[in-house]
Amino acid sequence: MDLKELNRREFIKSIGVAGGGAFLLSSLPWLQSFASARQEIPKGEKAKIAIIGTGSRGMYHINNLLKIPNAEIVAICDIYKPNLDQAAAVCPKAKKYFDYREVLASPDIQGILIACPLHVHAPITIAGLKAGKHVFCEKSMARTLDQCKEMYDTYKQTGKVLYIGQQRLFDPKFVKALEMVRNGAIGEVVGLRNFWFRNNDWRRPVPNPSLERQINWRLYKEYSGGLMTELATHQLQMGTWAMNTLPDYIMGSGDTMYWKDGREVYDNVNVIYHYPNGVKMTFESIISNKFYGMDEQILGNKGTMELEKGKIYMEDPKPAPGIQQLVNQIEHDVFDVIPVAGPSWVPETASENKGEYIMDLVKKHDGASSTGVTGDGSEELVAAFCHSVINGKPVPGLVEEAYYSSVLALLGLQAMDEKRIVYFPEKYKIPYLNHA
Amino acid sequence: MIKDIKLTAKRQRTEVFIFGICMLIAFSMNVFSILVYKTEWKEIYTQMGWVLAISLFLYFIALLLRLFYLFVFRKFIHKRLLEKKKH
Repeated sequence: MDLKELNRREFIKSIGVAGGGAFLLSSLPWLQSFASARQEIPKGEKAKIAIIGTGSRGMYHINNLLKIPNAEIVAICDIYKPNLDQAAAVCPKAKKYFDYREVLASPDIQGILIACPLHVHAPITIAGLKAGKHVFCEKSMARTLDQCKEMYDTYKQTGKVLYIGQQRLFDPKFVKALEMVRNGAIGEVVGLRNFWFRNNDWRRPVPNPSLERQINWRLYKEYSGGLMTELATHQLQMGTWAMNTLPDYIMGSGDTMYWKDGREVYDNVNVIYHYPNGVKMTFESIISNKFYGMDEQILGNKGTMELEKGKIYMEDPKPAPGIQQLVNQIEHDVFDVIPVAGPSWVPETASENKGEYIMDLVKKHDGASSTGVTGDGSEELVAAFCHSVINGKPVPGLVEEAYYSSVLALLGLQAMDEKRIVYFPEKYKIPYLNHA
Repeated sequence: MIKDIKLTAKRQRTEVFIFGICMLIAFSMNVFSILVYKTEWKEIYTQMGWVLAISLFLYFIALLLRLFYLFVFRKFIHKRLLEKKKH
């Protein structure tokens, strides 16, 4: 069976002491912060959290928060009453709000968790930080590049805690994979491939046509960057991790070719991110074919990693034991048909190497869920947020990672919209990844 | 009616001896393959499962040959040779 349970808490806890842990803690500072935060929290102290946006993703976070001992949901807020009612059913003690500004005015609330459509991420986050609240905002950071930068600047100015919902930063198999890449397990990184394939229209049922744009906000440019801001932003951080630098230019192509139902966003995209050393990272997404599912692949000259599967495939895998090779040889000599002439060309089809798991008890997920799945790091992320709310200390590196993955997604979208090569603009570089 | 089958001590010794020969051949194959394919020496014990499987396979082949000898050669050919001698 491929699916195996993994005790992630033990993994995070053990990072500080396990072999190679010191390296990981220095290169992934948010893990260090999380590990130490666990020890600093006084017993029984709870983070008072308000949930702004109680749709499907908001409910997913609520269910995770209800399992976390240091979390207390004190308020829920949504402009759509059915969503608010479903949250009230599981959080009967939480105060209900229809306007997020009233939430921010409440002195009882320490932190807010924003799970709203993308176009309101920036205004609510910025208002929240300025109101003295700690903020957890779902990915992607914001709808525009300027909004991303404004969110980052406000975070730095206020000194408050800001988390962006990039759960892979807390997924043990990604952390382990990064350690292996940095240790040279797959040799020199020569390519990065991200893909996310689905076969559905990405629509949600609408009870009333007047609510179409509110409920299916992912399909309209005013509210969303489509596949880039909703899917690519999760995967593009892999390039930052593996390359430890930024791409210098980006090009891409996007179209609405299959789901011609009035949507404004692309239903298939193909983007290339070019790094200064010649390595390219690609992102491809089609939502009218799901055969290949989703994955992030790091290609090295000695091996390949598939991060979602948590597997490593060496270019020259370890040979089978001698006795098995001997038996196979005898079997081939006895039963194989002797060719009369060798083929002049053999198709170089994909390797059938089954690979090995990069760590024990890997939990994998196919990315088909748009809300979230167990074991993808989301629970760890909100748990870490609660700890940060209690101790009030921002987590180094976390916002910067999310910022660059959001900016890369938006630059990819810009390259497709404008049908041109987009160079990484200097004004959107922040003091991270060797950029002063 | 089911008959009791008696395995004499001599027969048991013979079978153990034949299986031992099969084991020796299989073990030699393992050593040979380690040398030829330049794999690790620890395969001498890690691949004992394969050695045992090959031993059983060889023992089975030896059994078939012996049964062939017993039923085909001794029952028919040997019998005819004896009959010819009598005449």
